[in-house]
Amino acid sequence: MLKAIKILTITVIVLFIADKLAYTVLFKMSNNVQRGQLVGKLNQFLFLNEKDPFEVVILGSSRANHHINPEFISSHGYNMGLDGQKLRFHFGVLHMLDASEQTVILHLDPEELIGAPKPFENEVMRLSLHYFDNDSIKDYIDDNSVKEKVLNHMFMTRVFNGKLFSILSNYNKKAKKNYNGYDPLVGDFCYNGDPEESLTSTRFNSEKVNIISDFIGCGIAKNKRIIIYSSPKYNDSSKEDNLQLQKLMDEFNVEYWDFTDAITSTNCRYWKDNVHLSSEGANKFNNLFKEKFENTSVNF
Amino acid sequence: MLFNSVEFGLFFPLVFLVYWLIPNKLKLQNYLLLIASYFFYAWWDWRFLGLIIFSSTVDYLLALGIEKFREQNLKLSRLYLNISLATNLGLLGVFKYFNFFADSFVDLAFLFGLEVDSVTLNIILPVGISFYTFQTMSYSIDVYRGNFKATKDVVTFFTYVSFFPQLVAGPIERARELIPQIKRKRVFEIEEFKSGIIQIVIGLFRKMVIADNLGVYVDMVYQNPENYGGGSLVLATVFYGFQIYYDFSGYSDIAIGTAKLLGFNFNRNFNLPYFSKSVTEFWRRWHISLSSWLKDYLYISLGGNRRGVVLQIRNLFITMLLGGLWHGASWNFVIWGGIHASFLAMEKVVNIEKINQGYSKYLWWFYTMLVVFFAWIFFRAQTSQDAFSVISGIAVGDFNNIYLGSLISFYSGISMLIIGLAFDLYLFKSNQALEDLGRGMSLLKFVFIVTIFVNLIVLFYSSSENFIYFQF
Repeated sequence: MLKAIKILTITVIVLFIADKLAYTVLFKMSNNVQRGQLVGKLNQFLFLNEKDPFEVVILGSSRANHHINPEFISSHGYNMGLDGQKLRFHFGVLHMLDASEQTVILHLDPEELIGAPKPFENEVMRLSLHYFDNDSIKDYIDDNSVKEKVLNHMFMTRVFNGKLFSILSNYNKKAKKNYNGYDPLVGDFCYNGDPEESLTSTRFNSEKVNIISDFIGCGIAKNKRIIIYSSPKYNDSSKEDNLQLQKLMDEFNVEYWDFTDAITSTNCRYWKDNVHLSSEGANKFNNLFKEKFENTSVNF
Repeated sequence: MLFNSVEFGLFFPLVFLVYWLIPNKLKLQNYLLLIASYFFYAWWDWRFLGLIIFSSTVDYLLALGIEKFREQNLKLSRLYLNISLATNLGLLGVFKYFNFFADSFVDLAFLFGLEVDSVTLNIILPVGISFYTFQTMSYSIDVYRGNFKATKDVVTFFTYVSFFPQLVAGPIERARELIPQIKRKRVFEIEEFKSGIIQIVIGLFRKMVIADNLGVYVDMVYQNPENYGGGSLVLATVFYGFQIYYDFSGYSDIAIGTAKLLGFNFNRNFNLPYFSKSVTEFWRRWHISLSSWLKDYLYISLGGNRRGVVLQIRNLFITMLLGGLWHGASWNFVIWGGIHASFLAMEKVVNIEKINQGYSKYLWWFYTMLVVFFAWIFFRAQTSQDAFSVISGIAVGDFNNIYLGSLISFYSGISMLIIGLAFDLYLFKSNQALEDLGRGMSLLKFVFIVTIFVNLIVLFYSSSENFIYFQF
């Protein structure tokens, strides 16, 4: 038994050292990554925002990332939308912003508030990259998950989980010139298939409602103007859910812009699929969004 | 509680420590194992503990009866055996197959123009029921056949049924293998300890890194197979073949490694099945504890190969079709079993083991992989319709536009698969079993291997909520 304890102790010490060494190397490398959705985009956003805080920050999933070009509404804006990201990721990004006056535009579909949320650790995985070098993120993660806190300290390299290939493939590549986070879907698209399936339930999950409530509260405390919007959908069949979201946002006293039916389905070239606009469709949508943005007074 | 969860990471070291702190008190150790096993199971759903206790109680008492009357009154002994089998199969029938048979009956009646109201039960499948019922059934049958003496020690028997390393997804350990180990004093051996740790770490790598990363692509394609071309469908099917292998063999590795740390020896459950040169050989290497169970308690009971080729083929089909159904209450699993049965039967007729040697072995390996991976389509597809949609998608073609999904996730899956395959190839070429790998390993090599694999796990694990075989 004593021999086993000795072997285990040596193994743990070696593991600890190897982990710290690997973390140091990967951290240095990841700091030089300014490209790619997995690592580079968040790096670039944090770096640029620290130098000169953006006037407008757009948050959301792929429906934000591929749809909103910040250029239309501000000469100094950034689209921090990322494919597949959920509420607690966006909340984490908001946590990282300082208290300077900014407009934060969050894309939110009603269905994002339906059903139980994913485990916290899954939603904040991409943010954990900056766990050890950004106190706001560290506090945010530590406050919400003891398990994450313990595991991150046990294995520091865990913050690079799933990101190694992105770091290697984008290492030392310069950021695209004038990149503002907007990733239009360019291609020869023409969608005229089925609309998205209708929701079977429109009951919002209370935990998710609390997250969005906290998000708004945090934004206001940080001196932000919060706008929440829903992006266009191809022949959207359910209206009740958007009305319910409107009602909820009214309760929170937050602007909600519903663009679900803003883009017609008659021109198939506007659509890549039933929830994503092509660059051509996004261009049209950006003009509508700009109009709305300019007609709404700034209210910090 | 999952083996790859933080909860198990806290639970097991605690059990391990307390267990070895009481080395000279076998009874206490067994009590600890029993309590720990029930706690492990209750973590998932405490209400189903009653089911294991019920199953254990019934088989414990009936086995004593079977043994008592085996010499004096064979009829009564047989009656006890039948009650034991009926109870276990009854539990499986209610919890696993009731809805399937009820729905199938309604469909069959509809075919004959009859409209029958469907009666289904709103019940969930208790985790591990297929495994522990098979274990208890084998115990009763072995006692009836006189291959094993019924145990009078309640704690020993209840521990045998619920022993946590193999409780929810096997390996299905026979009573004659495990019960003597529970009764015998266990000694802590450093070589077993090293071997156990190595197997656990590699098992976690296989499960959390290879299987779960491949699963991302498989899930995406198989969720809506009609949306993908032939190339993507072939790729997803090949990935699934490796996903299920690494998922289940990884689980078995963790189970076997965990048992080793507690001083137990489980039998090997996977022996590099994708190096097989025939479907027959594949079944000697894949899920060995189940295939040998089916052979010993079903195939041989039906007559095996003792009554000519025709009856042998019949027995093969019955065994494989039921073996398929054991995996899940769906016709897809039956079809999967049927495909394997057809090729097993064909191989018996042509006596494949005599012709698949020499240079042609590569061709036979390719044939085996073709059959096995084709059959996986039915295993993975959610419905028979989906399975045929995959097959027709592959048949139609369109191999030029292979959709890869998230490239980073795809590359992670591929690169980790290459590492896994290279490791398997090393084991195959060096004729080594993973079970023996850690024994006699130098400290330096041990620390090096553990460090490499733990780092790979930390950097590449993909969060998956379950092991595939839990659903069976």
